[in-house]
Order: sequence, then C-alpha cells, then structure tokens
Amino acid sequence: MEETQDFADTPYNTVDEAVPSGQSDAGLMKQMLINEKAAPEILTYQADLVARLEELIENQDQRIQDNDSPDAELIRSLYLQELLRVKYLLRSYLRTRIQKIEQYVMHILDDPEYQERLSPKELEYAKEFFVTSGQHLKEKVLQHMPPGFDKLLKQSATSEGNDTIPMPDLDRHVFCHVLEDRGTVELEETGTETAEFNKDDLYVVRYRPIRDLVQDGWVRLI
Amino acid sequence: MFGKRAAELLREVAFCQPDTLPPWNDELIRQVLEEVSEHNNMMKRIFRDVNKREAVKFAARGEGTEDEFPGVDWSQQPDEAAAVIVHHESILRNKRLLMTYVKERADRIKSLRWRGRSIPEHILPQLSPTEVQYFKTYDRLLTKYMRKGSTGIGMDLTLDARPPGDPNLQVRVVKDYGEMMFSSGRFILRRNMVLFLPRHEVESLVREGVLEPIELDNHLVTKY
Repeated sequence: MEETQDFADTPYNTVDEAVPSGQSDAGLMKQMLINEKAAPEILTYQADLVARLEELIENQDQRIQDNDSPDAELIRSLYLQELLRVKYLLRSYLRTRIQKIEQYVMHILDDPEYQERLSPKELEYAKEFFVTSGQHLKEKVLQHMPPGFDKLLKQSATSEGNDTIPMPDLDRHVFCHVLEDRGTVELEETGTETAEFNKDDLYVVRYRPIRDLVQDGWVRLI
Repeated sequence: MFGKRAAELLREVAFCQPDTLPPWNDELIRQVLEEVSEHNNMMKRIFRDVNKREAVKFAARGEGTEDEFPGVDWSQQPDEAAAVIVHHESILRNKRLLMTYVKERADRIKSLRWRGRSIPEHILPQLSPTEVQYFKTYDRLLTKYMRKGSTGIGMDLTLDARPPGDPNLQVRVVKDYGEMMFSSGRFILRRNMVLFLPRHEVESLVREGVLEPIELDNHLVTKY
C-alpha cells in the first residue's frame, strides 16, 4: 500500500485495493472509463492521466522486449497480460468518448464549455465529423426541402433558436458511490429535497444535481 | 398524405436486422419530398387567398385601398389558420422522419467501419452512392484520428472491443491465406493449421474469417 501514498490526497485512493506502484494510474483510468460510460454528458478529457498511461505502455513494451530469455517466458506473459489490460482501458476510454462526441456533436460544438472538455484532437475530430454528417443530411434531405425548412439546426424558419440539436439527458438517473464525506447535497433546484452524502454511501439519483461532484471526484459513477 | 409515406420509409429501417440495411429507397423519398412540396404549395395558396380575400373586404369596408391592407388577423379566420398549421406540422413531421431515416442509415454505415475497413459485400448494393461516399469520408476521418503523428492518437480503437482474457489464443486456419508475420515468427497460413498466438495479433484475421478460435470463448467472432 505504501506505493499508493502519492494518491492519498486525492479522493480516488479508495478505488484500488492493494496495488503495486504504477498501477494506480490504471485504476484511475478504470474509474474514468466507468464514469464516462455512465454519465449522460461528455466529461473533461484526462490529458495528464492519458499521457502517464501512454508512457507506462511504452515502458512495459520495452520491459517485455528486454526480457527475451527463454526462462523469462512466464514473466513476459504476465507483463504482456498487464500491458494488454492497460491498453484495453485506454482504448475503451477514448472509444467511449468518440462515440459520445459523435452522438452529441452539435451540442458540443454549440457550447464553448463543452468544447473545452475535449482534447485538441477530439475537437478537431468533432468539427470534421459535424461537417461530414451535416453535408450528408444536406445532400440527401435538406436541399430538397422548400425554403424555410431547409436548415439543419432549425425545424423551420419560424423556430426560435436552434431546435433540432440532440442533447444529453442530464436528468437521467445514475448509480453513484460517494468517495468522501460531503454533507448535505441538494437534489432539487428548489432545495426541497436533500440527501446526506457520507463516504461509501450508494445512491441512485438524477445526474444533474451531482454532475459537479462527479467532475470534481467526490463521487464516482458505477 | 400527412407523413404516412415517410413513416413507412422509417419503418423499413427500424424493422430491419441491425446488421443489415434495406435498399436505399429513392422512389419513396421522392414521393415524400413531393408531398412536402405539395403541403408547402397548399400553405402558400391559403396564405395568398386569405390575404387577397381580406384585402378586398378591407377595401369594400372603405377603410383604405387594397394596398394599404395591414395583414390578416388570423384569429378571425380559425378554419384557414388551422389548415395552415396542419400543413406546416406535416412538413415538419416529414422533415423529421426523412432526417431520421438518413441519420439511422448513416449511423449503421458508421458502425460498419468499426468492424472492418471496407463495406461488406452483402450491404454494398443496398447503399446509395452518397452513402458509399459517406463511408469513405468517415473512414478517412476515423483513420486520421487513430493514426500516429500530430493528427492522431496512434491507437487502433476498433481493437479490443471486449476486455482481454488470456493473452494467447489457439486458432485454426479456415482458409489458405499466404505468409503472415507474427511476433513469434513467420508462418504460411494453410487451411486446418492450428496456431497458438497472441490474441491482439490474430483479432483482425479472426474478424476477416481467415482464422477461427478453437476454445469455447467465441466472442472474437462477430457475426457480420
């Protein structure tokens, strides 16, 4: 457990049981992957964590190549197994994000706050994807519609604002695990309903009231 | 009328197995678009007629000339107002259904790219030329994102759709394939040969149907 002391000050140190050094990042990534999968909206890109994992993968690759003696077969296969698991986590994480970006591309590009949550490469991807799929819809449907009904982002010329943008449902219910004592949390905007969030409590709640807690790492989604 | 044809169009896709696509129905789309333009013309005609009629009445009441008519008070014309709304809503409904039709197909075409680099032969004839183009553009886009270098992340995200188990896998060669390089050496893949190889190295060949996992764990074989 001593090796995990570096992470003692983050609320995530409870995610892993006894883990050897270097694997805490994998544990963190596992939680980030689960959060990303469970949250209705796209979460902030974990740039540092991804960079650390990429380094880890490279080191592990090197270690496997260095251990090429026949006696080290078992060690090598253990290293390889770990490597594949880390790679899986990282790929799944990025894959889940790309899928969410595609699903809500217009909503994300419409809002600078969401744009900041993407990595530069993801943002580039989102922009190009929007152009591609917008073009496709235009060519197939929109350009054949009468004037006033030929816009991608509006149902008709009389719409107030953009009303054809798919949005994530922030009021969907999620399962969450409280990682640190947090006291009373308001579950309604009006403050009429509250819950006591204590460490290791489990709740099924609407996502919206706890979205900041997820973002800041006070609770994790399960 | 009123969106029936467009709903039929969408039903074609909705009732189809998720791994295939019905043929692109150009004829039905043309009919729906015709319907839309008909609704649009009707709407315009009602506007024009009511405007004209009310302007004439306005002039007849001696409140000014026809040109000075300030516009129709629709609350006094409930019949025509209702007709306009119905036509307007019908156009919106048709638009929504058409967009959903194209979008749903595009999503399925997208998911083909996650299973392989090319469109499967049994699906290709079902696509319109624009859709084939869409697949190619999407392929380029995703490939660019996954490439090594300044534009991409240098990882193939279409691999390991499921968490890894045993890193090695016993596979049987299903059809002659020629020479392949693996980390453990070079092999000439001949039918019925049995190999024990790292899972991630055989994954794409299993998906292509060249290799077949021997163990019970068949999850690498996606049925497409």
